[in-house]
Amino acid sequence: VKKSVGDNLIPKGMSLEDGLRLVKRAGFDGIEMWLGGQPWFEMSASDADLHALAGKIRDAGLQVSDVANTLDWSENVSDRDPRKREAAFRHIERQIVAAQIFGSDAILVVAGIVTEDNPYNEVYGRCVDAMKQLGAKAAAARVKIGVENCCAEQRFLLSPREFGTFLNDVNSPSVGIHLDTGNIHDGGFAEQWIEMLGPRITCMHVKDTLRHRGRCGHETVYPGIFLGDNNWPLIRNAMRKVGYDRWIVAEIEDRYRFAPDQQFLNTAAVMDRFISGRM
Amino acid sequence: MHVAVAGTALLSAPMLQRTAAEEHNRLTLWLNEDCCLARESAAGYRHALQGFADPRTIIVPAISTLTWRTAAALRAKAEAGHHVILESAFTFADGDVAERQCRTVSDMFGLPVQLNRERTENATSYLQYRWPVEALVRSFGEPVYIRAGDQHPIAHHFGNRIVAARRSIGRGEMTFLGSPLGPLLFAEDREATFLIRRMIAEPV
Repeated sequence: VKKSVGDNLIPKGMSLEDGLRLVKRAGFDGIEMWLGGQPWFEMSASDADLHALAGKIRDAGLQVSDVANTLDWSENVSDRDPRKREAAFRHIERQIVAAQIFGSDAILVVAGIVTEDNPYNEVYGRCVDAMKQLGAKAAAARVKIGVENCCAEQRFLLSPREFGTFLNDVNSPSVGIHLDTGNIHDGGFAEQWIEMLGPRITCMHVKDTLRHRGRCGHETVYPGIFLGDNNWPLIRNAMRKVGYDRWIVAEIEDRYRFAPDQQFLNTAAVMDRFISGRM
Repeated sequence: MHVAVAGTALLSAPMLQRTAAEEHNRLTLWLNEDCCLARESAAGYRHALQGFADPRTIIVPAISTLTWRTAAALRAKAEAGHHVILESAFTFADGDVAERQCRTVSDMFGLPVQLNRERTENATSYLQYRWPVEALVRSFGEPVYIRAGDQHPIAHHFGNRIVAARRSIGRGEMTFLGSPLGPLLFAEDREATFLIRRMIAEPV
């Protein structure tokens, strides 16, 4: 298992080069690149820009664990508005291209957002159809699409069995789950999701959670790893049981108010303890 | 499957792969544009109407770019005795384009349609169909409204605003849906499925 952290954690105002140096110094093996998350990786970036970006990451001694995006929340493949849906296809296709350029084999997508105006049954059918189409493109590029379980925020695919059924309906070896251990909240237990969906996990976000549903104003429900309610020894055992040996990526919402670089160092140290089982 | 594809059809799109059975179709889907919503809507009709046969019915799924030429062709079909079901997705077109299409529908088919000027944050609500059966189905985006006239209202929104209507044209008929049904059929909505099956079974 190798550890990674999102480039969206690089503090605002810090350059990419300094951020990459910090990530490397903290002991991470790789970085998760967020399309739309930082000025150095926007939809407007050309292939040449992405090659240059890949070079900087390589020069820093890092690999790209996976390519995520922040754009799915405003332009989703499940949207009723065809313009937004087509935009979502475009940025997911761009993620696939970026993953190839970065030498990564995994992307993260948020497929399906259920709202009052966009009911579950519609979202389900649209997502299955979209993932079938995008899965074919990902297969051609030798990239795997990891559909993230954003259960609480998406109100979609709320249990591991349901997620398995969804993947069965998509029926593409290039579409799996990007499992986020924090997003399950009080709706289940991350270790059970890992056991049930093991071989279909393309990548993992390690994130702790507080077991009360949703957010309370601006207060986060995602504290630092080991500070929340996840049972990390069980999660580790479930990963061993299913033979998960790919990336674990720290996704941290709660930011240090002071000395932001220390958050990278502390997070990497905590992840080392998790990987080694010294808990 | 008794559904044919006409118009500028996108036969390469996954939802619309033509099957051998479609060569024996007796009901037409008139695909007007390369748009994911139109394809989804068409897939919904195909799914809901498997096994249904009506040589007079032409369904135009989720149209958002209705040109004068297309409208004239559809009018000619109605005049010749077809039942044309025109499903509006004008709400997803840009303002000026949508306005123009509303005028086209009004001028060509005598259905005075208009965009909802008071768009709300939560666009979804339920539409009450009264023909050919009583049914409640969700709206799909902001519906296009139809002003009262000599057409027969078949569905209302919030009690009295007409969102679907039909009227005779020549030897045939036009049914205008101000809010698409196809995506609901794609989502296997029971009431919408029952409604469309009855709609094409009713004599013109």
